[in-house]
Amino acid sequence: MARRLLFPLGLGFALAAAGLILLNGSILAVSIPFFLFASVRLLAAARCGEALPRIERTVPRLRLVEGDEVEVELSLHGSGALAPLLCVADDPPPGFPLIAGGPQFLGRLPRRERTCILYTVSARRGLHRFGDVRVSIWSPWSLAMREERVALETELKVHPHIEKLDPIVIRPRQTRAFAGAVKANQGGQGLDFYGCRAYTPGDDVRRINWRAFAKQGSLVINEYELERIADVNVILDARAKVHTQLGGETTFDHAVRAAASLAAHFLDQGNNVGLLVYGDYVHWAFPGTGRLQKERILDHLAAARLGDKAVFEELRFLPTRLFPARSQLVLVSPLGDVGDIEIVATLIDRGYSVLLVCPHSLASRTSRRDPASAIDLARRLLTLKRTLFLASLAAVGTSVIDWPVDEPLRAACQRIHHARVRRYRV
Amino acid sequence: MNAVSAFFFALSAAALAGGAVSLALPELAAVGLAVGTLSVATFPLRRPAVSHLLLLIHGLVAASLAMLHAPALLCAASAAAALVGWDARLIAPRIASAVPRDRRRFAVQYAGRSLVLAGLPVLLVAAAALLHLPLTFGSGLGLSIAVLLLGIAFLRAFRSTYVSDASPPPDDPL
Repeated sequence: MARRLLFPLGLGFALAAAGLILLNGSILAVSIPFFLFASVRLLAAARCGEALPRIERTVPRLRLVEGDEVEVELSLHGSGALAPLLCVADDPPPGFPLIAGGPQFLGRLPRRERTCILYTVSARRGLHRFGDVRVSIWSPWSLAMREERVALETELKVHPHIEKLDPIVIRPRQTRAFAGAVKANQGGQGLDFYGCRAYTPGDDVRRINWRAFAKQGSLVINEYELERIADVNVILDARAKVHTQLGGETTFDHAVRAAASLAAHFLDQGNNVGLLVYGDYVHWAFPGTGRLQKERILDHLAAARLGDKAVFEELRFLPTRLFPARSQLVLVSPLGDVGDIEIVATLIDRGYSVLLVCPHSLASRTSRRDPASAIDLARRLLTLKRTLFLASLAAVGTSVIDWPVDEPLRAACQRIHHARVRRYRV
Repeated sequence: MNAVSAFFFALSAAALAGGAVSLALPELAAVGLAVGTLSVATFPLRRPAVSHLLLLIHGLVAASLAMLHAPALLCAASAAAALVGWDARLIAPRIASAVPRDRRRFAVQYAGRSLVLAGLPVLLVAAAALLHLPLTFGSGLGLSIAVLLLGIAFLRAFRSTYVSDASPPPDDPL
């Protein structure tokens, strides 16, 4: 308030000085409104501070999923004896479009009375902070206004949307000791046939292969493939240069959702899942299991944002020491650089199994009106280039999920293109 | 509030034009009207700097007219109206997201009170033109002391308001 009045006050002083220098009473008269205005406002403003209401903000949940609607309640408790005119404005974060109501109250609030401001906003992914509440208090005759900011911080975590996925086959080279849903590439008790071996005392007689016995004359038993839990590390590529804009969203937004869905899927299967967001900064969620780990990963994904730091420009600097040896890596990235094939091949050579989820925005259908248009031609060329690129990745041993973002991830996962499975007997 | 601001800026422009006409200077009257039109036309620009600039222009044109011996009453009225228009324009964005009914009611109340506030200096200028007080040394000294005391009270009020606006200093552990 005081700072705002400095301008008319300064103007009044300038006019008064001009009037005195030029010995012109009329110019002096013009300065009178400025002085009077500032004086009345300042004197009246001194009494406004007594009437600051007590304010509380209530948000039903502090963790949301993107697209959720959240009703914010701002309670105002009157404290001034004179029931002054108040303007209370809440400051929802920029990523929260208003759905219903208004974040502002304008009116009188008598002492010991309570009123509420209710408004509904739609949540977008991210870590959002509701800022201070701005309160404007008018003096009893509304001659002056005083502005205050009431510190009232509320932090909301908006997680990405999780899509339920059908089972995805992964083949890490090493699994853990506990029973799970990942094929361990070892004979033992399981569901899928794995092989036969000579009978040893103590083996279950129900697993004896009688046909083989009839042929060979020696006892042979069937082995089934062990199913264990595995170390799965989801790597979200957050380098700005690999992502493209799609209307109001980017492929990165889709990639974040895919990473969340995949992490949740593998966690639900009991696996040990970690997350690395590579691009802006190395955000690393140490591998773990259970609901708490899911919350931790979703918190990291809520905070994920694109980065263009030179140090993360290439996948070459991926901190592989963070991942357990011979574990499963799930790389969610549009990729696109031929040099990336070499990096993925290096990862596979180091013993990791790589599943690449590749979100892209190339629509598969051609235009009905003009199938030979330049745009369609460009699209077909890009699709061809991309197909070759993905085939090269598959050739080095990567399993690829090619995901056009206009269709559900679930459908894309059903078309998973598996690399030739390399079996390593342990 | 935009309508209130437009009304007061238009009032200011009309006073400027009236002052120029009284001096038989149609060019200055046109300038006054142009300033008024500019004030209304720049409403979509919400930056406070634009409001400050408009007030400055109104003040300068009023001072120019006063220097050319236009009626002081009209010049003061123009400045007072421009001040209220400036204030309304700064308040408008603060209450923009309030319920329209509340906003309208507030605007009407504000306009009424501002009209009174703008009328005070005009009355003061009119009284100054009408009243001629013979001052002796004693009454002059008394008046000076009274003005000085008022000035101190004004500065104290200014200081208390300014200090409470600033953030408190951080706690010093030592």
